[in-house]
Order: sequence, then structure tokens, then C-alpha cells
Amino acid sequence: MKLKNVFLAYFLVSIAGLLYALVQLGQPCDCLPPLRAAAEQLRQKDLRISQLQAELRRPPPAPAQPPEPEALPTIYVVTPTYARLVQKAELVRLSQTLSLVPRLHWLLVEDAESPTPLVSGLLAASGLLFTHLVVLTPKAQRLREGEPGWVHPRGVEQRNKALDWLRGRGGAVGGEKDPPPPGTQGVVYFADDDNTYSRELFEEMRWTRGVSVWPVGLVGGLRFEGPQVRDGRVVGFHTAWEPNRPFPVDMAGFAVALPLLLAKPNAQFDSTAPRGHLESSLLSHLVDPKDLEPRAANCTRVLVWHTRTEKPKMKQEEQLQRQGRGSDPAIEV
Amino acid sequence: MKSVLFTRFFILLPWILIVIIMLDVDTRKPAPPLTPRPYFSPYAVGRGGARLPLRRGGPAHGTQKRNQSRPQPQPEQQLPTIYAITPTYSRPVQKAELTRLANTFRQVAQLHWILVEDAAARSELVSRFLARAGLPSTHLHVPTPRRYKRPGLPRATEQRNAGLAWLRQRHQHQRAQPGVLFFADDDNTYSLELFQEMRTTRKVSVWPVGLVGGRRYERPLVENGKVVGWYTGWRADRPFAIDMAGFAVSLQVILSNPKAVFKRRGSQPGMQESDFLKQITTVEELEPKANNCTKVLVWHTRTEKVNLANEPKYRLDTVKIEV
Repeated sequence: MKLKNVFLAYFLVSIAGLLYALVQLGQPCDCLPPLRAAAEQLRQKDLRISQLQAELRRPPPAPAQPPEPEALPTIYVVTPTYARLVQKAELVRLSQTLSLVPRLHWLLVEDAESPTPLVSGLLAASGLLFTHLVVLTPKAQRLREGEPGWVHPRGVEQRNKALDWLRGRGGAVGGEKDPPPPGTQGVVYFADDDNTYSRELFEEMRWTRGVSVWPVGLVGGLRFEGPQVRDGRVVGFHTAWEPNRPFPVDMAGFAVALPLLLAKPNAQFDSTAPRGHLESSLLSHLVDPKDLEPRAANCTRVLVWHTRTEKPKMKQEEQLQRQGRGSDPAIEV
Repeated sequence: MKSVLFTRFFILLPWILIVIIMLDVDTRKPAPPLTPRPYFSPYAVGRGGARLPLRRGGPAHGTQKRNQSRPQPQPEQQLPTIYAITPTYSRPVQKAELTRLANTFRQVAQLHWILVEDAAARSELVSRFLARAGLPSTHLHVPTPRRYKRPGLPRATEQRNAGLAWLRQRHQHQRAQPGVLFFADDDNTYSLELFQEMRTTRKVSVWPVGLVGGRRYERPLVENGKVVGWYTGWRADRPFAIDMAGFAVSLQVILSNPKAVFKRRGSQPGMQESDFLKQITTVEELEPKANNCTKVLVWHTRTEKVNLANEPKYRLDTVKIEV
């Protein structure tokens, strides 16, 4: 065979094949039906998801017999607070969350010599049922400028002051002055003003008989810290920091029934407790770890987060203060 | 002899290749569909939630109240809707921030929350969260291109623009109902009074913002009910020296300025708000709120970065718990 013929044949064959292939690509391939079916399936699934979401958003059917408000145990929320730049913002958003919870009594304890207008005004405008208390942290216990937060335990005197008020030892400077009458069904929760609380958390704790516990998010260097539950009982604790604490739970991770607190009139927080043992200093008076009541779906849901707010930078403000042109102190922030 | 074999081989070669290719094409899995899928476009809409009975700026139903006379609530239809555009992105405190923001927004009547994720697809966490949040909301998502994620570059631009686009799309065929739009970052703190103030916006309203710009607060300076200057710590020469949380725009203005968006090109850090407001209004037209800009009703709080030092490298727990 001559070489010219070889090349010619080669060339013609290639062209023919190429044309054939191009024609094939132009036609809709018969892989379309499975393609359409898959797209249709996806569409159906997405529709279903949207339907389910809409269903979830619909308010749940009202229970046949809504419990009378008087029958609901009251949640006493104890919040220590102190004056700093973000104080008003923190209290505003905490009060907004608390407003969503029925039968709630807010015990706000200021670390101050006397009640401040900022807090008094905020409480009055909040529309919540509240009691306003004040107690100054003794100088030895107070953090100095620049000291890290863990050097002294914070809020101890304030929380103990709230416990005193609940026990009928008085001290209220504003709001509801009378302590709960004996026999009141209620639960006490220590809520710091910079954490984040979901509504569901309060319903979980409301029916506590002794001490109930649940996981807390973003604390102890972990995504969450919480009790480990088997067969409805607490058998251990998922924690990485100082796991030998008798109660390795955060302040936001437990609630105490009011009758239990009143039955143990000497149970309070110990300001000399070592770092991280503050919660244990109270709980060891009240209950054994094995008797803790797990909540939040056997401690598998995170309903409270240990968020912390950044200290706002005030470089400009300090500059202006030095020049005598600081911001108007009459404008409350 | 050999050359004949060679020639035959080379003649047959293209045929063989073609046959192989056709067999391969026929057995290949189907390619992604060519038609655009409406459910996954950046403007996909989640159904607006059913309106739960909202309190009008007051405490929860059933809380004991003393000496509180509730004013007759206005019929909801007449209140201008407040649209809050919130860009959000995935990080450990995301759910916490959204929770407390939702707790605030639930108490505001006629508020529609537009949550825009910086993500390529709707995340499960946010979808589930919104389904239970209990307020009318829209769930969008648009990813920020990697090259814009450097420090010093403006953030959340694409997300805010997606929110604006959704609003414009939704109202393009309807007669515009009264409405107000504002940009709510997920770590700020908003008081309920702020929403009452902004609801009466006719064009663009402004107010002080606390804890921003290195100062206790930043605010517009007001004389005779008009904004004449800016009390701000940072670059007071900006045309609108205001934070994102310090202004609201009426829906009318947004719809009548369809090209007004947050820009990337040519924008300097800190000029986002100015560049946007320049396109839709002038300083003379601004409406001062919050008692002639002397009350702080919103705070530019920032949440500390979470310490996860003790988290094990690989998931050791037996259950998967969402935080």
C-alpha cells in the first residue's frame, strides 16, 4: 500500500469518526430519565423539608388544660452584676431573654455600696418581677486593675446575699421586698449577666425537686461541659479542666429547688474555695453527685452558653478625657 | 510485511479510540442538570414562620405584673414591618449569638428577620434554629470569596447585598407597604425601645451607638432637628461617620434606589456605611432619633473568642451534640 493512501484512509476515517462523535454529543443522551428522576427526587425532598420546617414553626397546639399560672413553680434567677462599660448592654439583653419566661422572679444583686440609678432604671423599665439587692465585695476579695478574672472568685457575696434574702433575712433595696412565703414551690438558678440562655432552659429546670444539672456550652476549654447520664442517672462528668472537683459543673449548669435551700439554712458559697470549686462549695452542702437530676434530654442538648463579652477599647475616650473633652456623662451607656 | 501491519494498525486506531470513547460516554453517570435549581440559588427563601402571638414590647404572657396598664395593641397590619438583615457565619458562639438575638427580636411586633449565612449552602444548625425560633424569618446564604477574607477588608458585604436583593425581589411586583430596614449584626445588643424609634423612619434615620469607635458612644450631632455633624472617634471626615448599627432605611428608599448596594471595589476599611448611604441620601435628609440622638439604645458589644484548648483533636464522644 502506498503511503499516500495510508494517510488518506487514516484522514478519512478520523473525519468520519469525529463527525459521528459530534453528532452523538448534540443529541440528548438517554441518560436523561435517571437525571430527571434524580432532580425530581431532590425537589421532592426539599419541598418536604420546607413543609416540615413550616410545621415546626407553627405554634404547637395549646394543651387541653393549660396549667394555671399559680400552679407553675417560680424560677428565682440570681444575677450578680457590677459596674463596667458593658453592664447596661448585658443586663438589657439578659432582661429581654428573661421576659420570655413566665413565673420568673429576677434577683439582681449589685456589687456596690448603694443601688445605682442605671440598674434601678433598667429594672423598672424591664417589666419583670424583680428584687434589687446590693452588697459590696470586700476590698481583699476585689480584683485589682489588670488582674485576670480567676484570681478571686467573683460574685460570691452577691449570690450569698440573694440566698439570705430568699431565707427571709431581708436586705432588698428595690422591687419585691418580701421573701417567698414558706412552702413556695420554686427553683433557684444562678445566671451570670454575660452568659446566653435559651427559653427552653428555664422550662427544663422549673420542676426540679433537688438539684438538676445539664450541659453548658463553650466552657472549660471545651465545646461543652456536662454530666454523663446512663439510665436517667448522672454517672460521671464530661469535663477536661480539674476533673477532680466534687461537682465539675459551671455556675450556669445547675439549679436548686427552693425548699431544699430553705431546709439547709447554712448552705452558701465559700469565698475561700480554690479556683473552680465555687460551685462545689455550695452543692456539697445540698446533694450527692449521684442524686443529681439530669435535664435537657438526659444531658444531650446544650441550652446555655458561657459566652463572655470583650472589654470595649476606650483608647479614644481616654485621649479625649485627657484633653478635657470626654463624652457627656449624662448620656448613659 | 511489517509496514503493512503498521499501516493497518494506524488505520484502525482512530476507530478503536472512537468506540472506546462512545462506550465511556454511554456508561458515564449523568452530569449535573443544566436547568437552574431554584432551591439552591442564593435567593432561596425559607417559608416565613407562622406569626406566634407576640407581645407588644412587654414581658411574657403570664408573668406577674404590678401596676402595668397595657396600652391597646395596634392592629398588626398598620405597623410598618421592620426588616432586620443579619449576616452570620459559622463559629462556636454562632448558636449562642443567634439565640439571644432571637430572644430580643421575638418581642418586637411586625419584625421580619433576614438571616444570611456566609456559607455555600444552608447549614443544618441555622435551619433547625430558625424553625424553632418563633418569629417570621427568611434564611438565605451566600459565600464570601476567599480573597475577601483578609483582615482589614470589609466583612459581610455579600451577605448584606443578598438581603437587599431579596427584599427588592420580593417587593418588585407589589405596591410597597411601609417598611423599615436595618442591619443587625449578630453580636450587638439592641434595646426594645430602638425598634419603636426606627419604625417611624420616613427616609433614613440615625441614632447613637454605644461602645464603638474607641469611645463610650458615637452619635450624630443634632441642631434644630437636623444632623449637623458627627461625634465620633475615628475618621470624623467620613461623609457619614456612623456605625452599621446606627441607622435604618425605609423600604421605599431601598426600592427606589435599586442600584444601591455595599461595594467592594474601591472601598476603604470603615467606609462601608458611608459608601452605601451616599448612594441613597444626604446628611440634610437624615432623621435623628432617640431624643435628638442623646440616648444610647444599641451597643456594639463583641463576644470574646471561645477557648477550646481542651477539645480533643478527634471527636471522642459517643454522641454528637450541637453547641
